[in-house]
Amino acid sequence: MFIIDLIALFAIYLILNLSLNLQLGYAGIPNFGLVLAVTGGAFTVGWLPIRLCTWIFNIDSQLGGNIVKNNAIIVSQINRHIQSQPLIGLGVFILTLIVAMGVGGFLGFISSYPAIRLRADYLAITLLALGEVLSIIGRNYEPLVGGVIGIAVPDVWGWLGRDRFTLITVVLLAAAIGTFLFLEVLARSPLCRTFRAMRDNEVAASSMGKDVARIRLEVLVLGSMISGLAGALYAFYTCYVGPAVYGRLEWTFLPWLMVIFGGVGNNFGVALGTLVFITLRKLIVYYKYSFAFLPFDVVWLEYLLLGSMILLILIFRPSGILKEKPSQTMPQARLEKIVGEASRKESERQMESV
Amino acid sequence: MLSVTNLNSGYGKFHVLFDINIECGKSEIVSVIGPNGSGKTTLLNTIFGLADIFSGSIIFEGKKLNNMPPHEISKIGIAYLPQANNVFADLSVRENLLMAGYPLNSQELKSAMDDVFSIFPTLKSFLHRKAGTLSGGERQMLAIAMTLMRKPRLIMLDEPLSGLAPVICQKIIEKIVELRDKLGVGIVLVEQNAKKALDISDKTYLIVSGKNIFSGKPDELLRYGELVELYLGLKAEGK
Amino acid sequence: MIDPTLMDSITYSSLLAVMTFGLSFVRRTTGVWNIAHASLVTIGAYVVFTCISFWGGSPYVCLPLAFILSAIIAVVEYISIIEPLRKRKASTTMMLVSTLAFDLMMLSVINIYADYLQDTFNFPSKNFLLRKLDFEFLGEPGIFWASVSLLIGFLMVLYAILNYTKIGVALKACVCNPMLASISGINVKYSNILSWLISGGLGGVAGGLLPLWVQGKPVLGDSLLAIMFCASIVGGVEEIYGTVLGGFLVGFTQILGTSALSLFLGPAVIPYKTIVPMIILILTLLFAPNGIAKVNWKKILTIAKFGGASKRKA
Repeated sequence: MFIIDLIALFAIYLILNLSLNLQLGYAGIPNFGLVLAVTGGAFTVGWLPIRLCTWIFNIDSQLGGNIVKNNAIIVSQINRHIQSQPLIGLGVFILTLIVAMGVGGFLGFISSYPAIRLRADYLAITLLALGEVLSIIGRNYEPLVGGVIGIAVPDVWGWLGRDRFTLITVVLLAAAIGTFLFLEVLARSPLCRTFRAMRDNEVAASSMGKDVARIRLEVLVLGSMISGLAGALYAFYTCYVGPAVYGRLEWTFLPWLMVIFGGVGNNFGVALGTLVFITLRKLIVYYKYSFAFLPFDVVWLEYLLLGSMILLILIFRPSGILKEKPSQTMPQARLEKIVGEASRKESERQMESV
Repeated sequence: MLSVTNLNSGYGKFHVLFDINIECGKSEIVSVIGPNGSGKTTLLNTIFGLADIFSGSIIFEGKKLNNMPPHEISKIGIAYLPQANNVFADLSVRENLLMAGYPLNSQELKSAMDDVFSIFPTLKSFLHRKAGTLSGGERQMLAIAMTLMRKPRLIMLDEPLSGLAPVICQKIIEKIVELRDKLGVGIVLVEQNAKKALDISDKTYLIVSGKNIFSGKPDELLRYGELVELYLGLKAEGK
Repeated sequence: MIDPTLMDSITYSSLLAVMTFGLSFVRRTTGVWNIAHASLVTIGAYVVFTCISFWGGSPYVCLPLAFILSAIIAVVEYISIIEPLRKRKASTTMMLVSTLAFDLMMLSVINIYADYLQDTFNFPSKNFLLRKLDFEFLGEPGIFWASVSLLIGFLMVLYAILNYTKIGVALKACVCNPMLASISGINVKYSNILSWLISGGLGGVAGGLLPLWVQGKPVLGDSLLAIMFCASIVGGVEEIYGTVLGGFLVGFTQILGTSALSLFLGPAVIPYKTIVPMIILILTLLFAPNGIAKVNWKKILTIAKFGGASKRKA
């Protein structure tokens, strides 16, 4: 059970970190407002499925007419329906994910539009400042996700029966691997080379006709869509959405630490970093009671450890555990063949001139 | 006074200067000339601790400068006039001079400022103006005045004539010669305008692509036709 | 006596201005946005809390201690993290991340300390408000007078330092042209340390005053970080006094603005006042990206007078 939960958490965070790697590692955009898109995705899951299912199953809205106030009762009714209707559960799941990605992308767009021409660190802190907006709205506008208390989420996997967590985790892992493959393919594409060119030297890239601001925006939107996906998956996994859960610490800062630790610009490094941090975290929480003698919550020791690890990495190995690989424009074998032919021709020519 | 021996230096992994040897004594104007990008500025930067030394040594009056930070080197009798951004634009002229004489106490400061005003009397009239609002020539005067505040025995000037009108250039050249003759200062002059530099130098070094390809008296150099034409764009004197 | 909303605005803006000044100042002098500044503020609050919890008395007495501790930690941060990274030519983003990591560590220490105080001594260290310990003067709470005098006092002292002391002029010189400063004999590293010391200390003092007005908790500084960034950018980092402008603009619109809005849209608007700084931030970025302090008002008035299309400066 411990392992299952670890893998699930790993999968979710991997998706989020890959999104950050895309924005930061490949396109050089320091998105310190990652939490915004994540919150957006999660809030979509808090808002849409319950209303969708209420409509589909014709659940009696006579229950006070207020979905949010009665969400516990309504959701338990929905869950009972879903247990016998797997297709609807799956359908709601997928539809909500798509909407969540859309919401994430939209949030990415509007939060970065004013800041897109700014220099890296100004962009970073602007995104940081704006990242909180949705959380604040969520906390105060009850109809959205139940205000401070939060709201329950229909269990779209209810039909899976007893082995549900294993199967859910498999799905999550599949989603993570899918994202990973998608981004790896993207990393080898000419589009990604444009990103990197822009990251390394904006002036040169724009003098080559690349509209830097627009590209940045596109990357941010794509990245935010993926972040939204991660947030939505987490919300579905925990069957609960509340503004308190989606804070800057857990959903912006920790991903940054994981990505930097693993290696910015290297998806494998990111996977490694995610694995290490998630495992560490699960271990500390699991053995929390062994630390019960300490007069404070042991989770702070974890953050202390994390913080110092990152500082050490930044000072002694800033490229992370696994460095960024240069982009491959063609397969290695073909490259070697071309170089081999060229040097052979050159030595032939030299021999002739002698 | 100043001996640079077998110097190899640059910035980080970037190797700019190769086995450079330079000597400058009292009451001497030594010019360092050469095409753009040869490393002339790097030489001055290295002497003042602003670049990385890979090998070789820099000795001033018996002291080894190799690992000294710039603010320490400024206290032992060398002054440096950088090519660009050589005044504090946001500060007033008075504050600029105050900064140039940072390690001095108030008495020494007063006497230094008096001395500087006697060489550059016009500075007195814009004591409270922001340095950024001065004209090119006035700014250069201020910059040179700043190098004099601590009564250096060696002054390094990086292209002091660049971007200035010929009349001002002439004035500055006169001041430089005055420094050598009246104050006995040793001067290392890096200059793009080779002709003017050679006119007033006692010794010259021609640096191309980081390597010293000539050292000796200016009139000797002018006799090497190809060098002079190729690298300095000057007409050779007889062949 | 004074309209309470106005008094609130002035108190808040003054505290915000002093708090944010440190953030802008180290940005200006060393080019780093110090996220850990948030924790320096919190540390100030906890110094005051510790003092009055163990020894009673007035919170104001412990303020110098708050200044000292926050200043020391700021300098430690600079020497152990920022300087080494600068030597290694780390990118601005990575420097930002390092301050983030340091902030996380400081937050952890604060939480551990607060937990310890709570468990061992039963102090309400996770959530405290010191208003009842405040004095009253001319009908207004002491915090009002304290925050305004802090702001005015620090501005005067800063002005004096920057214009009448050698060290202050050297600080300006280092900001203006660090290379020239070092070849003039100024130790730029010491100058930077001084700016971090001042910034951290001021943050600590402002943080020490905060619990007299709002709830003190471990995330006190971090909860205000976004607003501080807004105030800093809105005011403009280039001008040293821009932060005051930014602090007041953000502070006043947040409180007075929201209160005025609630007259039209009802009291439901009030909790959203935290979003107001962000709206101002967005507006500033769109129309005056270098901050309000840098806006060329003359030019705008001229253009407005003589009409014609004016292109937004990028």
